[in-house]
Amino acid sequence: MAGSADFTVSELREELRSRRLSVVDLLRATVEAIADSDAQDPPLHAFLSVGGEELFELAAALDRALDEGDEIGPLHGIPVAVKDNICTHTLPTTCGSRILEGHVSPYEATAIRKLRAAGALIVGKTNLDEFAMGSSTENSGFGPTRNPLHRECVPGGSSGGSAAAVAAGLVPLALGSDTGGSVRQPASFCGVVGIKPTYGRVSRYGLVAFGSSLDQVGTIGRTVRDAAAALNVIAGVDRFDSTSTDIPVPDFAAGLDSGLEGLVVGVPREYFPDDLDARVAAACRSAIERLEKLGAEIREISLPHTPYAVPAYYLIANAEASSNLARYDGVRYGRRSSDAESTVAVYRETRGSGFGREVKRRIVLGTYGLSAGYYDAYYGTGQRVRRLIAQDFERVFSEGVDVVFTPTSPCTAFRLGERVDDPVQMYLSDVFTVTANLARLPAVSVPIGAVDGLPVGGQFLAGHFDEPSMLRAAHALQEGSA
Amino acid sequence: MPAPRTPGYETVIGLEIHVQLKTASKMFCGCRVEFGAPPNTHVCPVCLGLPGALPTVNRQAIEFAVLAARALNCELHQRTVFARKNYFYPDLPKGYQITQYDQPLASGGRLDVPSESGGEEGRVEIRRLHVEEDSGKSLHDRFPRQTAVDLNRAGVPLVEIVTEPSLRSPSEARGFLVRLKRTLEYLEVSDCNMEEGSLRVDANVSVRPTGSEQLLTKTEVKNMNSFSQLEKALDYEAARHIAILVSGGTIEHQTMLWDPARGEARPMRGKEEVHDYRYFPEPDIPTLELDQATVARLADPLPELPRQKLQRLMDEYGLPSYDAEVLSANRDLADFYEKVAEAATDPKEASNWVMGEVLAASNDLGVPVTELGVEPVQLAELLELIAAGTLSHNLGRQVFRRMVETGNSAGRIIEEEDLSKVSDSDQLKAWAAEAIAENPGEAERYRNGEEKLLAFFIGQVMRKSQGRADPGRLREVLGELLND
Amino acid sequence: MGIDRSDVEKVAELARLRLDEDELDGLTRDCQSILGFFEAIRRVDVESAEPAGALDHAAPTREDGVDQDPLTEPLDRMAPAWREGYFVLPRLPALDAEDLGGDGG
Repeated sequence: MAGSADFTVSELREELRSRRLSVVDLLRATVEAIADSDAQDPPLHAFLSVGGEELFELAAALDRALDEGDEIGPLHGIPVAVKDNICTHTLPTTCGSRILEGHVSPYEATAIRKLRAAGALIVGKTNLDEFAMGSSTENSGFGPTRNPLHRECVPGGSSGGSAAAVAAGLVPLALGSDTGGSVRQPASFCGVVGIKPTYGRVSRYGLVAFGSSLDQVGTIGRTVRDAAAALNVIAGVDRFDSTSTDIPVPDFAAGLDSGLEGLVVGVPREYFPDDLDARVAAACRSAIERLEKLGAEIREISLPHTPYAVPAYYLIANAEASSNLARYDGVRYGRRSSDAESTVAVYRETRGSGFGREVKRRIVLGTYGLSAGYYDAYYGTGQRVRRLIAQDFERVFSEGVDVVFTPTSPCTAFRLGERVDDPVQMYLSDVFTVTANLARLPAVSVPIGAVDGLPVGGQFLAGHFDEPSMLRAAHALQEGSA
Repeated sequence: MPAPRTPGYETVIGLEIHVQLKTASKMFCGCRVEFGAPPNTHVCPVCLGLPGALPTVNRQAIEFAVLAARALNCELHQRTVFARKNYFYPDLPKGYQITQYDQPLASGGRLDVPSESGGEEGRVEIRRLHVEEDSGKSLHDRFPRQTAVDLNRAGVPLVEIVTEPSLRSPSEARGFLVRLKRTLEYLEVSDCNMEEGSLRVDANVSVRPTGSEQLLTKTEVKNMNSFSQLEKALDYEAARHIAILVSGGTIEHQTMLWDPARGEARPMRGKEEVHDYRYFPEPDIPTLELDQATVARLADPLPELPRQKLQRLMDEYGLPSYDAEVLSANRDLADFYEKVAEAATDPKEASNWVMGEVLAASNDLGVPVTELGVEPVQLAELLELIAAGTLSHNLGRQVFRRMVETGNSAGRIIEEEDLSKVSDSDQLKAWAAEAIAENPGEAERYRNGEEKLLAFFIGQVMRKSQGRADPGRLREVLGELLND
Repeated sequence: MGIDRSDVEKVAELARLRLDEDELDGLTRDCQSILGFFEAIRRVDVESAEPAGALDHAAPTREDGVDQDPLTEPLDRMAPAWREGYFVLPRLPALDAEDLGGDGG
C-alpha cells in the first residue's frame, strides 16, 4: 500500500483495532511512500523532515497496547503530518525559513500534545511558505512543494505540504495553519478538505505566530468526517493561550449525517464577481443546485465590504507579522550570521540573510504601517474595516442564514512560477478566504468539482463556534458528489 | 552638595518610576521570580520569546497594581489593554515589550508630600500607572568585547508610575520618592529595593524663569541608584541647564547618564537613534476587565497608609510629629511600636525606646525589628520594670541588649544575671566611701561649694556597681557622706 | 500616500533588515504597487466603525504560582552562542559598557 492510500481514518482505525494491520507496518508504508514521492521527478517535496527510529519505537508501543486491547485515543496509531510552523520537540520546527534551519523546539504545541494523547504518530513536518506567508508554498526557504495531481502546478499555500501529503495519500490527516486561507486554499487546490476553526477554538500555543489575531490551527483530511475527527482532538480552551475560548466542544463528527433539510445557505453576490473564472463559477452553481436538492434553502445575500477585505487583511497581518518576527534576531536560537561584529550587525545580517524576499516585503510593509504618522492610515484603518466586515456577517447570520457558501479560491492551482513576480496577483488569490479570519469565523473548504483535472473547492462559513452547521453542509455536499 | 539655587530660575521635574511587583512568578508565565539566581535558570518558552509561545496574565500582579493605583488616588479603568512596544535589544527576547499604552490600568492620581520648608504639604500629580514586563539583563562587562544576556529578569512584573512635571526641586523629588516607596511598602506590593533594582527611577529635568508657565527643553537622567544620588544628579543637571541658559546657549534634548563615582551626568553615547516604538494592541491578550466587585474586594478599604498611620500615632498615642514620622517610616516598625505602646503604660516612653534602643539594635544587626527576637510585649515588660524603679535606665538598656542576644525575657535576665538595682544602703555606703577615699581632691572641692561634683561621684559609684546602684538612694547616701 | 526608496531604507533599518541595493530597489517597487493596491481601502467610510481588536471574552488571568512549562532541550544546545550560562553576542567595542543600559523596562 502507498502510505494510508485511500483509507479514511475510521477505516484505518478499524484495520488497526482488528489487528489486520499493525501500527508499525502502517508507519513503514507511510515513511516509504513519503520517500517514494520525493524520489520521483520532479519530487513532491511535501515534507521537510520525517521521523526516524524513535517513531518506530513509539509505533511498536502502540501495537503492544492494541494487542492488549488498549486503545489510548481516537487516533491510536494514525500517522499525522504537521505543518512545520507548529512546534514539536522530536523534529525540527523551521517554519520553512533559513533563519530557523535546524531549530528543534524545546517544547510542544498544545495541538501536538493533544494529538499525542489521542495516540497519533507525528510522522513528519510539512513544507510551507516561509512563516506561512504565501499562497503557493513557493516561498519556502527549502524549495517548493508540488501539486500531487499536477506536478507542474503549485499545491496552494501556505499549508501546501500538508495538503499535498493528504492529497497524495501519504497520510490520512494533517495539521495546517490558516491566517488568511492557508488551510482552505491548498485544500481546494489539492482536492481535499480543510477546516479553519473559529478563532479561539484551538489553542495557538506552539503555533509560530504570523498574524496573531488571525492565526488558527486547522485540519486537513480527505473527507469532512476525517478532518472533523481531527478537529475534535485538538479543540478546546487552553490555559497557555488567553485567546482560546472556554466554550464546550461538541462532537464535530456526530451530526454530519443529519441532512440539510431546513438549513439556510446564504450565497453572497460579492463572491461571484463578473470576472470570476467561469469554470469555477460553474462548479459553484452546480454545488448550489445540489445543496438545494438536498433540502437546503438557498438565499442570495450581500456582504458589502468584501472588496476591501484583502487590503484590510494585509494591513493587519503584515503589521502583526513585523512584530511577531522581531524575535528572530540570532541571539537565543536559530541561525546567526557568523561574521557579524556587533550587536546591531548580528541583527541586520542574521535577519537580512535569514529571511526570504516575501517575508522581508511583509516586514517592511508591516513596520511601515505601524510607524509614526502612518498607524491610523494603515493599521488603524485596517482594523476599522475589519469590524465592518465582521458586522456584514453578523447581520446575515442574525437574519436567519445558517451557513454562507462561496468559492474557496477564484482559480484552480496555477503553475509554479506563474505569480511569484506579481505580489498583488498572489494576494488576490486570498480574496474569498481572508474574510473568515478577519471576522474570526469558522470555514471549511470541500472539493466540489474539477476543471481540466484540477480540483475546485467550495467554502462554507458559519457563525462563531458553529462549526457543526458548516461541517454538516460540507459533508452533505461531499457525500452527494461522490 | 546641592547646587546653589540661581535666583530667577525654577526647576521642573517629572519622574518615571519602575517598581517590581512582589509576585512569586513572572508577569506572563509561571517562571519563578528570584533575584541573584544563576543566569538563565528561571526561563521558559514564554519569557525566552520562543517561536509559538504566548503570554498569560498573572492575576496577583494586576491586583498589586490595583492596590498601588488606589493608594495613589488614581482612577482605575474598567477595561484596559496591553500593547506591544517594539524595539530591538539583546535582553528583550520577543523584540517587543508587553506594556500598556493608550488604555493603561489607571490614570490621574496624586500623592501628598511634605514641603521642603516644613510648611504646607505639596501635591504631586500622577499622570498614569500601568503594568508591564521587565526586560532581561545585558551584561557588557562580563566577557571582553561581548554582551552577555541573562533572561531571569525578563518578564518580571512591573508597574510604571509616571508623574506630571509637577515637582519643583530635586529635594522635593526625593521627598516624593520617599513617600511613594513608603506607600508601596505599606501595601506590600514591592520590596522597593533600589540596589536590587526593584525600584528604578528616571527623571525628566528642565528649568525655566520663575513664574513662567512655559516648559523648556528637558533632558532625561538615568542610572541613579539611590535617593541621595538622585537628588545629587538632579541638582547637577538643573545647574547645568541654568548655566547653559545664563550663558545664552540652548539645551539639547538628550539622555544623560549619572556617574555616581564622578558626581556628574554625561550624555549617553551611541544609541541616540530616533525611537519609533510602533505601539499596537497586544493581539495575544484580550482586553483585561476589572469589575467593581474585584476592586472593592482588593482595595476597599485599603490597608492603612503611611500618612494615616502618622496621623493616628499622633492622635492615639499623643506622639510628637517627629516621633510619628520616624515610627511610620515602615509598617513593621510602626506595628512593633503600637504593640509595645498598647502593653506599656507610657506611649512616649515606648516611642523613645523603639526609636532609640530598638532601631539601634536593628541597625547594628542589620535585621528588621521583627527579627530582633524581642517581642513587643517583652519590651513593654522591661519598660514597666524601669517605670516601677526596679531597673535604672542604664541597667534597662543593658537588659535590653541581653534580651536581643539571648531571646530571654527581662525578668529572667535580671534574675539569672543578678542585675536588679542595688538600693541596699550598706552596700551603697561602702561604694560611696571607697569613691570618696579614692578622690580626695574632688571631695575637698565639693565641700568648698562645688556642688556639681556630686554627679562625678555618682558616676564613680555607678561604675563600681556596674550600673546597678539605685541613683535616687545613691544621691542621698553620697550627700550624707560628703557633708560629714 | 507613496513610499519611496528612502522610506524603505528607513523602515528596513527600524526592522533591522540588511538589504542590498538590488533588493532595496525591488522592495521599493513591490511596496509601491502593493500600497497602491491597498489604497482601495480609502473608499470605505470608516468613521462610524470602531477598530476591531478586542475578543468577546475578557482576558483570563492565572494564579500567581511557579508553574513553568519545562524545556526539553538545554539552552546551550539551542543557542547560536553560549558562554558560562549566558547567551552571548558581539558588542560594539567603541561603546562603553555603561552607555548600553537597557531601555529602562
